[in-house]
Amino acid sequence: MTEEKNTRLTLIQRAMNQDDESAWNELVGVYNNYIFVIIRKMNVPTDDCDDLLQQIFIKIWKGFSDFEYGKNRSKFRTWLGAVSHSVVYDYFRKKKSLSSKQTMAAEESLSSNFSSITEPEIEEIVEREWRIYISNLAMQNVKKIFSGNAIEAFELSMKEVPGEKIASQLGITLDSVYMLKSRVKKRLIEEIKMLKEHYE
Amino acid sequence: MAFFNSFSENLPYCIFMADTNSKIEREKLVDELNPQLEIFYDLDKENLEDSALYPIQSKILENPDIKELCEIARGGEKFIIKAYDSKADRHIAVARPIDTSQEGNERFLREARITASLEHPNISSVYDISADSDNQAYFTTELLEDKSLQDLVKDFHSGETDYKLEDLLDVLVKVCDAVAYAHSRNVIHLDIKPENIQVGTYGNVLLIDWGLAKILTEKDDIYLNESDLDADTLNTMTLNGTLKGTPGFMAPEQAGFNMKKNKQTDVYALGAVLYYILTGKAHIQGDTLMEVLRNTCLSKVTPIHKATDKELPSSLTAVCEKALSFMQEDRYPDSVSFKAEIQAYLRGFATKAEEAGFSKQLALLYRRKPLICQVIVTAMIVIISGTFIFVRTLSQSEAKAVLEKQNAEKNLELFKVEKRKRDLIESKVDEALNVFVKNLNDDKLVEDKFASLFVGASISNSRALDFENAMLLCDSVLKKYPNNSKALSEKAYLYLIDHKFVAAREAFWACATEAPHVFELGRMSMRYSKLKPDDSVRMDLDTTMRFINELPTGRDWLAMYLLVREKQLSDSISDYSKWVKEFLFLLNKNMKRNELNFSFEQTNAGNKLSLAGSKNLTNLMQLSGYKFPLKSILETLELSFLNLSHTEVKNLVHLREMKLKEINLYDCAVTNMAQLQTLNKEKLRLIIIKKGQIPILDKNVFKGVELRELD
Repeated sequence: MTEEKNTRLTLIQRAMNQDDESAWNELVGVYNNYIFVIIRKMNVPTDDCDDLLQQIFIKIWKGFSDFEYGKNRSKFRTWLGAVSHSVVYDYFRKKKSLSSKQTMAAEESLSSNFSSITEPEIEEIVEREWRIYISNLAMQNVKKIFSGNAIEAFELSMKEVPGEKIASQLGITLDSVYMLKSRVKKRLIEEIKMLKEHYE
Repeated sequence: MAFFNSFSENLPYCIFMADTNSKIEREKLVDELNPQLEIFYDLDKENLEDSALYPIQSKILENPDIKELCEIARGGEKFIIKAYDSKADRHIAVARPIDTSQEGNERFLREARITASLEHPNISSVYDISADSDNQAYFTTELLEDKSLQDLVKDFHSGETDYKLEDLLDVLVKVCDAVAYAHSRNVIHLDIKPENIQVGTYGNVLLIDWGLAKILTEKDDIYLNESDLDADTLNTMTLNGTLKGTPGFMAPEQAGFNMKKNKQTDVYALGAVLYYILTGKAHIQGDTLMEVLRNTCLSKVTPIHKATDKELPSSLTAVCEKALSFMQEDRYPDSVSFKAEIQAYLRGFATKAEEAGFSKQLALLYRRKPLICQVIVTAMIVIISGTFIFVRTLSQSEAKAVLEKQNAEKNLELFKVEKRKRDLIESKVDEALNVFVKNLNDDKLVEDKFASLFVGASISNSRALDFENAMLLCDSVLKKYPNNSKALSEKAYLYLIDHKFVAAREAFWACATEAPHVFELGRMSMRYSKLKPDDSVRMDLDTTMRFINELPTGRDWLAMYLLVREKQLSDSISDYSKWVKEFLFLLNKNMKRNELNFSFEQTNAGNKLSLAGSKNLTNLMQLSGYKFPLKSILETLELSFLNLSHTEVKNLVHLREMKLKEINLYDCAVTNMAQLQTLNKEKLRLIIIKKGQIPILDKNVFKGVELRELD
């Protein structure tokens, strides 16, 4: 996010203001699925995810005042990743000490995956998952815009189905396949750009 | 949870999320995230390839070339390649010369230019004439359908097609249009043959291969126009010393007989195509090429009835014979008059053939169920002839009523009679049809045949100049079958005859696809319906004459119908005589307006017409074909006295139906007895001639007629 673009407050900036409840709600709405994805990647069992999500959001809410947004390119999601990581780390540690000796082996295997994840790796996961998450979110929005064969043509082409095959499958011309595909692509890129500006 | 609760009072409510449903959805979301989409995260839409977004533009800009796919045909001078034109996104044909020498290229380009200069729906259009980077000439045209008339005729004669003879003749009519157009541009084709006539799936017809075409150079033939073809440049280039034309279709003058090639050369080929359509064979046979050529020069045409077992309509075989005459002057003067004959046939054919089919139908039925058949036929005869006789009697009383038109009561009576007549016919038609359908219900075509029978009767009525009856019969058919194209086109003609252009337009329009030969008239009706939108008003004389002058060639009978109709509807015969006067100019094209002396008079002794002293007045016949019920336009004036003195009339045979009392032929062009003998002697009392006008005069031939010779 460049300095110029910060003239308009982003969602994160608005949410940092602890009185702006709607901004916070929106932030939670967007990020909670994302954090869910990340902590699932860290092998947290589904049943425990809600608890952890709440803890993470509480930490964020409390820590917003200390977070220096946009400075030194520090990204909200990097911070978010660090917070999530520490919460998950605590979770596994707690779980380990609480569990009985006989389940030790099972716990070992459960946490071993996590403990082996290093800090740079976390950052990588956070970054990558965010990109995937935002792209998919954008795709969901784009799907609502297009009707007819456009999305289908696009999705088939993403699966690397040859254009001729798509054309015959959808009963349209090859040119139409390319055109529909490109239209969806263009719109998707626009949507991603918008989501990025809004949520990062 | 305790940990969480301790902070809850400060937290916005919404982070306490995720009921069961959204949990499931969330799980699903994680599973369904498509990692592939990540690639779009950093993409900028400006980097998107426009080619996909704007495929047409990019194709035109990127790939201006024509992609040649495969050779599809090869002729004497050129071969044709199927190609894809990426600019227009269509398949086209690319023609390239076989002889790639400079001379060959030039000859090839000549054909391209001639074809390109002819813009007509039945002549393939040239898109582009160009040369490759290595100077190889080519031209591009529309890609032709793969059926030629030759294929269609073969299919037709082997019975492997739905095509009917009429359909093939329709194709020929369109070819005539193309030829007529080319002739008007001084181009003769010289290689008209079924192979060179392409027929598309949707009835589009193209005359192709103008490789032998010639540009006529006769001075008086050249219609000076800046877009006229440059005859000198283009003519010197036909390949010398080679046979130009296709044996079996070429005219004697093309096979070596020393005669100039002209428009009649194409007419000959059209006749050959007609022969081929009718018989499925070429009209000249021979085992070797030389023999065919020799037979062509000797005009050894295989008699058409020997060429096929099929029963051929005699009118068409006559057309064939005339077109295939050895001497050019014996052929049709142009493709237009040839076409008119085919069209005349097409117009009449529908009914004649269908009537034949109908009687065949009856014959078959008779074999199966003789008793029922007898009942039907009797019923049919009673119903139809009964109706006709009744209507005919009505017509006569109607005529009387017209004479007493001023009488309002009579008018009312007439109206009632008219209505009764209409109701009667309609009910009789229904009755007859029901009888038929009930008894012939195993044949789906019966209704169609029935309709045709009535349209046929309607056309016969028109021919007998009873337009009211004709209209009634058409209406009866249309009431049952509103889309019957034959009835619609007949009705349209009847509307035209009544100057009802709005109604005519609608009717022509409704049948235009089924009966393409009415298309031109449909357009005329359209034009005149704008000019005169009120169908209840009739055109004045001037407008009518303009209309007649604009009629397509070969529709002179329509002009005659218009004249006869005017007579039928006119209150005053002296008013009507002005129409006859105008028609005399149509008949005598060389006569100037001030040269005609026309004086018509109604007297107690009978109607008098004097044309005395009219210079250049030669022709007194009528405009239509010989089958027209009237022989002379003067017949409609119901003359008793006719003065033709000092005119150039020399043929009296057309006057043979006129019951004249006196005729003055003083110093006209009649110079022999035979002419006088053709006159109708029923009421004839006096013939006046100049002394010595008829050198060998036999006064005894005319009993009771005074032959007065004046000085």
